[in-house]
Amino acid sequence: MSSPCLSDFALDRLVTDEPDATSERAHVAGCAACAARLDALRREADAFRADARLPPLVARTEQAVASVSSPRRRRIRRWASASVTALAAAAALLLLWTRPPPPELRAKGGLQLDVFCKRPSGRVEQLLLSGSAAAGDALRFAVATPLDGFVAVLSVDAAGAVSSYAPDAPALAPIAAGPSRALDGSVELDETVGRERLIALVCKERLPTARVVEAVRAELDRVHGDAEHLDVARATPGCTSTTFWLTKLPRS
Amino acid sequence: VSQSIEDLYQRFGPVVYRRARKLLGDDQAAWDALQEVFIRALRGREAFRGDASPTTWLYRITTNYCFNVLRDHGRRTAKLRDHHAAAVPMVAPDDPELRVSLLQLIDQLPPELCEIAVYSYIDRMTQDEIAAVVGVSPRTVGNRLQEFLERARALWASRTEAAQ
Repeated sequence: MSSPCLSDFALDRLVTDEPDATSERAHVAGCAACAARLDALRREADAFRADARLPPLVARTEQAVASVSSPRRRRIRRWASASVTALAAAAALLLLWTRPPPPELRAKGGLQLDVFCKRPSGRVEQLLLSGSAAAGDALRFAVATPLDGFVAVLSVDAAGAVSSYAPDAPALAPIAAGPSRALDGSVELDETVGRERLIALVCKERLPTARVVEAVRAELDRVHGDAEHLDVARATPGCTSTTFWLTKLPRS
Repeated sequence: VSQSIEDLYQRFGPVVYRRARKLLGDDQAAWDALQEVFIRALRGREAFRGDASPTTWLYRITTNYCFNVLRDHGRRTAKLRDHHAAAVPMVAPDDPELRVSLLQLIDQLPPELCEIAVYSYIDRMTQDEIAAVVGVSPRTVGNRLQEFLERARALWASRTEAAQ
């Protein structure tokens, strides 16, 4: 007996090209009705993308989330001078960051982690919703915090490995309260594909990086390697944290 | 950043737009909704969890935003209410005893019930799909659908009585 046809919701996951919509893809491959519906939805999507109303809408959205921030320029110069990656990569990121990250995204004053990805092609983009990157891509981070403290960005990858992505230093890096600021250094993603949890931590004390990594690793063990249920607050008392979920894809 | 926002529109815009148009029943209102949905998504992306897909997440933001628009329009003027009542889809359209406009329900029943009813009756999503979008168990989805039906029927009955 064949399975019932997919809902538009399920087909929409194919329209948006979600990498984990494998069962939907398999169904469409064997269902003429769903294949026809998907074709129709894709034609509609193409018409939308070609609509003359779209570019002004993108511009208005950009305006709505952008602002001018002179302190950011100072940070950019400092960051560029401390660049640990190739000059070309830094220049590309500088170009990106001369348009500051959306102020509204941090207007409410919570801890926030911004993730920037440099593709092998040299293109640099901020990961917003989809949060996917491939092995070989390079990531850089920016953190906005409402309180002064000491910052780290940790990774819990799909294989359950816990590591520090930033800082590349024996102790957490000082960070002042304020809008998003870039952390020194970048990390090139390895071949471990799957969902990866990135955790930005801001702690009151300048803890050794290894101690923080070990605490998170122990907490991961406590929850049997389930990164989703890892309780960062329990692992790192005195620190605040936020999570960014990354989908890591095979090298393209 | 602008390139990324453009990418978001290219990838997810068609789905958000089509969903908004379906719920609002109006092309221009759907275009207006697009920007609001994306801004809300970007502002609230801290709430986005990796266990949900971006499409799932945007579906929910779009649905709730459209509910707000419909609610506001319905309250604003009778004219707009009439305009939207004609265009906005019917919930449970296959049930002749319960052909209820989404607009008729939106101020009458709790939003969490209306949301699930829309996913079930308008979007024809499975209970598992609804559970993934709303972030509750399939069992809770079933319970809420049952509650929706009971309350919508009661509402319908009271209106029918009042009309007689």
